[in-house]
Amino acid sequence: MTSESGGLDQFRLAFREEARELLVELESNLLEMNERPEDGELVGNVFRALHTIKGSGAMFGFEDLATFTHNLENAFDEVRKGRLAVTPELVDLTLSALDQIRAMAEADDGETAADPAACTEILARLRALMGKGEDAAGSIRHTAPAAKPVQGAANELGAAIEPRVQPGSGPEQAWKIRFAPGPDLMRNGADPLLLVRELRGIGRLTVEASTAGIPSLRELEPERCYVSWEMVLAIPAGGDRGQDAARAAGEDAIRDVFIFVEDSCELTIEPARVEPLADAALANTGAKEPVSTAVCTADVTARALEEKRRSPGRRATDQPDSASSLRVPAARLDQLVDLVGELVTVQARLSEFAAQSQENEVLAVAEEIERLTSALRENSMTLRMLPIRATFERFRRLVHDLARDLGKNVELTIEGAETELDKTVIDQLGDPLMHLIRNSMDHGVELPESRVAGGKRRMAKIHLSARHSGASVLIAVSDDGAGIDTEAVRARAIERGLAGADDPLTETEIFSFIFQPGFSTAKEVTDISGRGVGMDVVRQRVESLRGAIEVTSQRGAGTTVTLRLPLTLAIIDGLLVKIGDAFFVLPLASTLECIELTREEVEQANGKHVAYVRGEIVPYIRLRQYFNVGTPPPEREQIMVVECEDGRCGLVVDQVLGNCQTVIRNLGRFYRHVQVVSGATILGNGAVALILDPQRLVQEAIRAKIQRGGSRSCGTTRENGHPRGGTHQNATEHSVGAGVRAGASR
Amino acid sequence: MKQVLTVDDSSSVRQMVGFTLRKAGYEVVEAVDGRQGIEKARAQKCDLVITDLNMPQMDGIQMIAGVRQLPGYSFTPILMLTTESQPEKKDAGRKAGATGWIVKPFQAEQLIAVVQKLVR
Repeated sequence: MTSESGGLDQFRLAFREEARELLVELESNLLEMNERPEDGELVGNVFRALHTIKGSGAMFGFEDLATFTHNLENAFDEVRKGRLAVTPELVDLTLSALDQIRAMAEADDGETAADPAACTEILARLRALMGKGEDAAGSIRHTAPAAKPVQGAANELGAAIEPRVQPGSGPEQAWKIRFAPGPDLMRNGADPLLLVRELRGIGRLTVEASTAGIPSLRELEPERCYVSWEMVLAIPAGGDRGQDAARAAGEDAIRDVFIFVEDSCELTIEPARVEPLADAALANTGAKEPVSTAVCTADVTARALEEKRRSPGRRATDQPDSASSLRVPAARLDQLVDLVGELVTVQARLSEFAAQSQENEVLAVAEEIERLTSALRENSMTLRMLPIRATFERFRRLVHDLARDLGKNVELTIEGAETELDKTVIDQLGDPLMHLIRNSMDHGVELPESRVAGGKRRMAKIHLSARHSGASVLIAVSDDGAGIDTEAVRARAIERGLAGADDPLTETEIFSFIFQPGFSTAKEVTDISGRGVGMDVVRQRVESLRGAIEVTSQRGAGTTVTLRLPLTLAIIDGLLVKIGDAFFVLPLASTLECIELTREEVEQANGKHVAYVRGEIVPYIRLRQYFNVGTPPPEREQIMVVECEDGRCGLVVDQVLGNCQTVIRNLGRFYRHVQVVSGATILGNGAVALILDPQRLVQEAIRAKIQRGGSRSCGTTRENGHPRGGTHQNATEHSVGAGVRAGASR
Repeated sequence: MKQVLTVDDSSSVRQMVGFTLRKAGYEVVEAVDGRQGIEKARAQKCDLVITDLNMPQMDGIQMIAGVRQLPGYSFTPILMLTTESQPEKKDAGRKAGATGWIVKPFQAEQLIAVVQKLVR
């Protein structure tokens, strides 16, 4: 094992991951403890988590961490025993200790990431809390990095294994050992025969079994060992050690054999002289030993019979599930998903080729492969799905700490924590959410006094929620605070030249200014927010995830910021469509149906872009026009009816080619601002198709229409007063031009 | 092949024990707490049980007593993982029927040495 440092590293990593999880759990337990200080179960949980961190930390070489955590564990042991009360101070202190533990766990070999001064202070305050001033010296020993209280304990066992006497050429030492098992020895799982064998590993052994203690059959308890042994052990002397030292080591080695049974047997170990006679006896072992072995065997047989009788068919039970879940490095999953992506692309080529070849057998194989690839893709995508719980739970601590620092009363409620999202999305969500929560805490939530004065509950509420909506996940941060002061934002926007003094601005447009770089209405910059950095970052991050932000706010009642994020970033099911010579992909999840649009219908609509779908009016966007495709339209066009947040809307294309599994490729930095295209994909024939974002397309169209001041024939079927969404105030004008021109339009 | 059941709420310890023993030629079954430990022991006869003491749901001491009661486990060696801070736990474990103990932290070689002491 020691030769494989790789093994140890692997365990260190495993420990690190485990510690991370335990720390998150500890944090939420501690925060709950603040509310329910009397809850014994919480105390038990905290104690156990600390205990595990300490124990495992010491196992894998995190001595400083183990020592430090040991002190905390002690404190919570006191709490458990009712000798120490749970106070906000204890909770705060423990929370700050967790930060140090986290730093220690993340530190690499030989580096100290934790703050020694902070650690010392935490321990000092902890001792003060525990009221053990007089005992301080003893505790300080624990804090010194050099002191390793675990060391002594390790020796206890170390001694049991290490001092195997080295064979040497010197004189032998002999020991006489009498060993009589007590009544419980075998019932506790020890096996006298194994002990004897272990002794034989140390030196040459003569064994004599005494069967005198075996009672008559009527009195015999079958689970008890009645045999005792007299043994002489000749240990080869260790090389150059002094005689006394050698003898001590010899005796230790023998005692170590019996370390687990000391208390349940009679054991005497005394030195014996090595005599020629003894040697003769040793030579004679062959004759004597079988006796003892025979007795043991009889004993073993009895035991075996007994067990057999009591457990009929013990092996008949089915194989247990040895591991219900498995830890796999995220990088391997990413690699798998990448490979599946490649496979999907190749499969598309195969299908294309098969369709051209017109050979039934090739077609059959291609279809089979298509089916399998699709199943494999869905399967591998679910592997990366994680509930958002851990990300959400992390913020309890943030809210707790900020509330304390700001002197506000805030509770955090969480909804939909079980909602699953791709791990790559979750990983990048932490920062934006943190900024949003900080913002709510600082600007949204009022001080308790002004809340009460305004007739609100003293305790403010921040609500984090997640839910699925089609191919997207909606994550919302809402507060019941003061809401956004639209006039102040508007004034600031005009002042900064973002809007003209008498521009007619919708509420949505006003809110979108919040996400401009460096935009802040805060009168003073605080520690928490107000530099106008956060929201800008939020927008960038969310957009890089192909998501969108939406803000709703009501003065005096609160603000809700909703992030709309795609479920996955890698592969989607799409519908392949054609406009002119260009291919596009629409996400299948947002597509409702396809209907035909004839030239006749277009003429009847009097220039309005609306279609009648089963008595319902559906407005549509002609993508051919939108992308400036110059070729003449076909006689019959197709309307893809899509569902988006603003209702139903149609997208008109020339031709619908069919389903396709789509590996999403990023367009790269230059095209990042092209909002209506969420990526590109490579088709089976090698052509590139742009993946459209229907939501954005519709929003863009609505916005463009409003800016032109035209009638809202391009609105959606849902009659809402003003368009929602759209934080991309100065996004591209709608002439995006099929992909290639998109870059140039900026 | 000898079956070893390792019961620990710490995944890193389970992983370490499992890895070490599998490499030494044992078959290893894992459980995350006492209750699951008893279930697994019942489902499949193990030749050795290694258990942590402090665990949620059911602690190690209770589990040791429970396993001892299971058919076929009268003489099965049971090792407990203790820490330096709880000598009283060692006694309680012995009373419940534990065969021996290993003091945490321990190294892989120590683990194997003790396991070999108890299982042929």
